[in-house]
Amino acid sequence: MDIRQITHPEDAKAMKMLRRTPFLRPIVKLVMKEGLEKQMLGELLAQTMLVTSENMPELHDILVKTAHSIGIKPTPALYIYNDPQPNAYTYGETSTFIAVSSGLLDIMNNDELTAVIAHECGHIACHHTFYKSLLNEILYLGDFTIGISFGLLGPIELSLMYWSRRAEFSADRFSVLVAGEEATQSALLKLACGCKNITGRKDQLIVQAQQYFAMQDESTWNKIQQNCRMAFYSHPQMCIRAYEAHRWSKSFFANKH
Amino acid sequence: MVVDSNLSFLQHCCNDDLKALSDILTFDGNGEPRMTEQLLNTSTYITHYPYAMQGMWRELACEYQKFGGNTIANLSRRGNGAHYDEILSDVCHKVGVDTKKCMTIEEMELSLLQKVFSEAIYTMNTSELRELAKEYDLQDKDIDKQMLLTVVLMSIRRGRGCIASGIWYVCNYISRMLLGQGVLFIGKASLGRFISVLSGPIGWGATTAWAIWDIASPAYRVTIPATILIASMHVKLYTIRQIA
Repeated sequence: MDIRQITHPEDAKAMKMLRRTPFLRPIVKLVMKEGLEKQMLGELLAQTMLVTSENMPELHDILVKTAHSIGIKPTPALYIYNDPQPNAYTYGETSTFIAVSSGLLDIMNNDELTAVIAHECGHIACHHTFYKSLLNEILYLGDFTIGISFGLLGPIELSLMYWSRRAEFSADRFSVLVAGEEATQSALLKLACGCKNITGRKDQLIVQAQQYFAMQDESTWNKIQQNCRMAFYSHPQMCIRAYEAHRWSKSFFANKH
Repeated sequence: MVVDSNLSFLQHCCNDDLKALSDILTFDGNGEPRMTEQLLNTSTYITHYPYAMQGMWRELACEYQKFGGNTIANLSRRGNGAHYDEILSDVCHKVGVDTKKCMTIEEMELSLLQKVFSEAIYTMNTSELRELAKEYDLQDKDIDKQMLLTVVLMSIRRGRGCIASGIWYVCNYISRMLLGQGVLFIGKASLGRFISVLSGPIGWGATTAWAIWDIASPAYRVTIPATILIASMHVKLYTIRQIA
C-alpha cells in the first residue's frame, strides 16, 4: 500500500511540519526508545494478556493478516487489557504493539475487530505514534504541574490535538481498505453506543453526521460552540469519522486495493 | 466559485494534462501536499482524481487563480483569485519575458512558451533530442539544439497542425520536468530584507509589513510551473482544433 495515497491531506501536512521541526525527531526518538516504549511494554507484559496463536487463534490470525495486508513488518504484538469500556490503542516506534480492551472484544464481531486492528495498524504505518507521544507528554505534564504546561504550551497542544484528529481520519481509511466500509461503519457505531446487538442501518452515523452539519449550519453561534468543544478532543466525533470514511470510500484509491 | 472564462478551455483538455496541473497545484517537489492547497480534501477531488479530471476543471481553475492572487486581495474578491491574464502577465514578468499591455492572452502564452522551450531544449539529453527530432521528421545526423529550437518555435508561431506531435512532445517534456523538479526561475529578493533588519525599529516595522505582504503574495513556486503548463495545454488544444 502506498501510504501517501491513503493519508488524509491535513494529517500529511502536519506530519510534514513536525518532520521539519529541528531537533524534535531525535529527541522524541530517544525519549521513546529508552523511556516510554519500555515503560508501556513493561506495563502491558505485567498487567495484560499477550495474544498468541494458542490462546486466541482467531484474533491472532486477524492481526497477522491485517498487518501483512498493510505491510507492517514485524507484526506488532497484541495485548488484551481488562476494561469494560470498548477501546484500543497502539504505541511504539522501534517495537510496536497494540492493546485492545476486553469490552471491545465483547461487543465486536471478527469483521469489526479487523476494522479496529486495521485502524491501529494504520497509525503504525503512518508513524503517528511517534509524534502522538509528544502530545501525550504535554498532557501528562499538565496533570503533574497543575496545568502550568497547558498555559505555556497551549497553542502547541491545540495544534497537536487538531493534527491528532486528522490522524484518526487517516487511520480510519486503513479500516475501510482492509475491512471494508460496512465493517468500519458498524465498528464506529458500536464504539459510539457501546452496545453489541444493533439492528437496522449500519450507516446510521452518516445520517447523524448530516443532521449534525445541518445543526451547525443553523447559526454561527452553533458552529463556534461545536468547534470550541471539539478543540480539546484528541479524536474527531464518531459521526464525523463515519462521514469521512464514507466520503473517502468513494475515491479511486479506496477501490484500487 | 467564479471561474475566469479565459480558463474555460480546461474542460476540453485531456485527463493526463489536468492531472499534471492538479499535481502541481497540490503537491510540492517531494510529492508532499502543499501547506496552502485547498483541493485535496474536497469531495470533488476525492471522487475525480486521477481518472475523471475533466469533472473538476472548475475547481482546478479556481485553485490556480487563488494561488495566483494576493491572499489579502483574494479576501476582498470574496475568496476568488486573480484573473488568468493578470497571473500570466505576472509570470511572464517574473521569468523575464517582455510583455506589452496590448498583447492578447495567446500572444503572452506564446512568448512565455518560447522562453520555456528554449530552456527545455537545452536541458534535453541526446535521446530526448533524437525523439523530438523524430517528431519533426528530421534525420538523426541533423540533430542540433539551435536548429531544433528554431523548428519548434516556428511551429508554435505558425500553429501548423502537421507538427502538432512535436509540440506535444515538448509540452509533455515540460510537464514531466515541472512535476519532477519544481522550477527553474525563482526570485532572489531576500537580501534587502536582511539589511533592513539592521536599520532599527523603523526598519523592523517596514520589514514586518513587507514580510506579511510577501507571505500573502502570489505563490510563484506554484503559479510559474502551473502557468507554463496551462499555456502549453492551450497550445496543444489549439493544434488539435487546427487538425480537426
